[in-house]
Amino acid sequence: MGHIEALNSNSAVAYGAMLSRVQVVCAYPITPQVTIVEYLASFINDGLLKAEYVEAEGEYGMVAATMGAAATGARAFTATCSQGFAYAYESITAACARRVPIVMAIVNRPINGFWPDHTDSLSGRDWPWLQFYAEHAQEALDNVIMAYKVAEDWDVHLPTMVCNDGFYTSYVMEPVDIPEQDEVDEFLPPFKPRYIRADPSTPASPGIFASPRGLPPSIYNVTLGMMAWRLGAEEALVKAKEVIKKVNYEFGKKFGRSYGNGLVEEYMTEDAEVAFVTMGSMTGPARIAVDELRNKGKKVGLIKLKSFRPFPIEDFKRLGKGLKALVVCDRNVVNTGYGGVGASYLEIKHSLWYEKERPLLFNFILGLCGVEVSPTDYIDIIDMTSKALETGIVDKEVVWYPPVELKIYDPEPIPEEKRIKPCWPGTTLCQGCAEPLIFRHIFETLGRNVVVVPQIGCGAWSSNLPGSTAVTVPFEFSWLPQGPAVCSGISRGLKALGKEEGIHVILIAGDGSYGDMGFMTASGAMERNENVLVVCFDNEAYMNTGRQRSGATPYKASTMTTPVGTVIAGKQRPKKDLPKIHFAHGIPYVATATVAFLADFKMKLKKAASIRGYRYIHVLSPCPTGWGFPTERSIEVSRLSVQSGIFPLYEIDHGKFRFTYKPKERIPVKDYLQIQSRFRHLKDEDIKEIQSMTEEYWAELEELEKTEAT
Amino acid sequence: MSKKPLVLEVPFAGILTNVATIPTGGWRIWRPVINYDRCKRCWTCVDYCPEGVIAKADEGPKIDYNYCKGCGICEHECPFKAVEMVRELRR
Repeated sequence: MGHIEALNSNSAVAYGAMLSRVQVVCAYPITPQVTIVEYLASFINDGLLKAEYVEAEGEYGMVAATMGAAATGARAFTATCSQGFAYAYESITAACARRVPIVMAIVNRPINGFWPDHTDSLSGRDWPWLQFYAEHAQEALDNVIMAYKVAEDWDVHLPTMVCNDGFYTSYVMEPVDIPEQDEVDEFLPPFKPRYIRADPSTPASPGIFASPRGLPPSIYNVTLGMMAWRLGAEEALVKAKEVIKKVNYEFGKKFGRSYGNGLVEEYMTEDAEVAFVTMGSMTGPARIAVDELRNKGKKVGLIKLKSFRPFPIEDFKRLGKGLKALVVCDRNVVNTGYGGVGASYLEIKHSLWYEKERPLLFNFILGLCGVEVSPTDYIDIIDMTSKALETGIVDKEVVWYPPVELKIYDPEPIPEEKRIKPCWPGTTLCQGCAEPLIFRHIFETLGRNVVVVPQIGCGAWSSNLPGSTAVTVPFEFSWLPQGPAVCSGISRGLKALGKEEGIHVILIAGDGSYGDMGFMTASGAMERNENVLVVCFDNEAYMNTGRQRSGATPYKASTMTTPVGTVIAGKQRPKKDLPKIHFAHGIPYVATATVAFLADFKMKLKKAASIRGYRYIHVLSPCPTGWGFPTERSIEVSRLSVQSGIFPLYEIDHGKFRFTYKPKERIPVKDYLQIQSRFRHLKDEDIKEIQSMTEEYWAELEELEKTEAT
Repeated sequence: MSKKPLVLEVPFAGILTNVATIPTGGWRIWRPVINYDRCKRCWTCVDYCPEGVIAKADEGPKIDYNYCKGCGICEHECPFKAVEMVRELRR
C-alpha cells in the first residue's frame, strides 16, 4: 500500500514519473509547469531517481530530445505548457510521426494568455497524440503511470499528454496516495519498444516517406505511404480506447482506484435528464453544482471527459440516448468565424449527428484564460438553458460565459506629461533588483527616441501591471526566442518607411531567453548585421520562472533545476560565454558591463549608439532573490564580480579588444562567491577550481588584448 | 438565455497606453533616512537607486517614499554613511 502526502498536481506528476522509472527527463522552465522538472531535478540529484536530465535550451529542442531518447528505447519524460507548447509544435508533430511513446505533462495555460484553460494542449488535437485530462493531483499522478502503460502498448505506440490545470491544480496542495515502487513495478513493466531505431545493432531510419511494400517506390506511391502513417496512427488511436479501458481496470484492481471506464467518468448520470460535460479541474465545482441541483430536485448529472484523444465517441452515443440535454462546458475555444465553439462540443456534436435519439446540445465556453468557474456558475448555466429545455428550441447554441458585450476602443496615445519619464517607478521587480537601474540608465543615455523590444522575462512583465504600463517608450513585447527577429523586422520596417534616422531599436533580453532559446534568431540577426542594439541582462538563470539553470548560470551554482543534492550539487558545466560567441559573429561592437560601474556602462551605451549594425552589451545584473544575498548588496556583488575577475569589463570595438577596467590586483573569487547562498555548498576545492578557471579565462582575454584588430 | 451581459470595454489588440504603477512604498520594512549634515551631495545614492526614486534637490537627495521599496542600496553604497535605515512603524 502507498502512503499519503500533501502534494500539488505538479509534484504528483513528478512522483508519477519517478515511480514510472523514467530514464531520460528533458526540461525547460515555463510557468506553471516548472515545478515538475524542479522536483525531478531534486529527485535525480538526491539519487532517488536514476535518470539523465537534459536541460534543454527551449521547448523545441526539449521535445526533440525526448523523442531522440525514446528512439533509443529509453523511457522518456518531458513537460511543458502554453507558449512552450506552441514553440515545441514541430517537435510535437514529429514525435507522433515517429511513433515514440513519450509522456509529456501539460500544465494547461493558454497560448498568449496566462491563467489556466485548455487551449494549449487542445491546439495539438489534430495530431495522433493521446491526451488525458486530470481533475485533481491524485489523478495527475495516476495518469502518468497509466499513460506509460497505454502509450507503450504495441497496438498504440503513440506519444501521450497528461494534462493538469495550471495554478488550480498545479499549485494547490491535496492529500495524494503515493503508490509504492514495487507495486508500480508490477503494474508497469520496463519499456520494450516495437522497434529500436537509434541503436547500431538495429539500424533503421525513421521516415514518413516509406513506400508501401510490393509497389514500386515512385513519388505517387510514397504519397500513399505518407497517407498511411497518418491512417496508421489513427488506427492506433482507435485501438487505444480498449487499451485505456483495460489499463484503467487493471490500475483499479492494483491500486484500489480507477477513473470511470478510463475514457469518461460519470457522476449521477443513471437517471439524469441533463448532464454537464467537463474536463480537468472545473469538474470539481460541477460535482458540487450537481449535488445542489439534485437537492432542488433537478435530475442533473455530470460526464467528466478524461480522455480527449482518443475521443470516446461511443460513450457519448450511449450516454446521449437517455438524456434530454447535454451541456458541454469547454474551457477552451476554437475561433471559427461563426461565433466560436468549444473543441469538445465539436466532437460531441459529431458523435451524435447520426443518432436517432439525440439530446439538445448546449455549449458554454467558460473559464477561458483562467476566468474562475464556481458551482454557482453551473447552476446559473442550468437556469440559462431552462427555457430552451421546455420549448425544445435552442436559440443560442454556443454561449461565452459569463455573457459579455464587447466594446473595443482605440486607445489614446500616452500623454506628454507622462512621457517625461521613460519608465516610472512602482514596477513589480523585486527589492534590490538591478534591472530597473539598467533600464533607467539606458533611457537616460539614449533618450526617448527609441523602440524597445523586451523579450519576456522579469523586466518585461514587471512593467506591465493589470490594465496599465510603467513604460512610456514603445515597448513591443516579444516572446522568448523572438526578440532579435522582431527587432530585425522593426529596424527594417523603419528603414522601409524612411524613418530609421535617429531611432534606436533596442532589444532588452535575459541571458536565458536571449542566450539560450533566442540564440537562433540572434545568430541570424548578427549574421545579417541588423541595425539593433542588444542589452542582455545577465542574471545567470531563468529568474522570471523562479531561478532555473540557464546556459549563463555559472559553474557549480545551485538553481532549482541544478539543486544541491546528496549525489549531484549545482550546475556541472561552466557558464556560456555569450560575449565571445557574439565576437565570433564579427559584429561591430561587443561589450560587457555591470551596474557597479555605471560610467563605464554609459560610455559603452553611447559608443554602441554611435555605431550602425548589431551591437551587443552584456550586463551582469545581480539578482538578490535568485542569487541569495541581502537586497542592499546588489551593487557590492556587482563590484566584487569585477574585482575578482569573474566578470571582466571589456569592449571589442570592430574587432579590437580592450579592457575598460582592470583591477590592479584581483581579489580572491571566494570574496565574491561566499556572500551568495547559491554558492553556499561549495567546498574549498570547488572554490580553488573556480579560482583557477578565472585565471585561465583572464590569461585568454589578455592574449586577445595583445592581438590587433582584424 | 436571460442573463444580462457584462459590458467589457477593452482597447484594440490589448494596447496599453494607460500609465500607472503601484505605490511600492508599502513593501518597505526599512526606511532610508538621509542625514543632511553628513551628506556631501555626491549623488551616489541617486545613481544607484534601482527604482530611480531619489531626486537631486537643493538640500540634497530627496527620496520619494511612495515608491521606495526599501532595498537599502543607498545606505550600503553611501560613502559618507549619510543614510540610515530606520524600521518602519507598524500602522
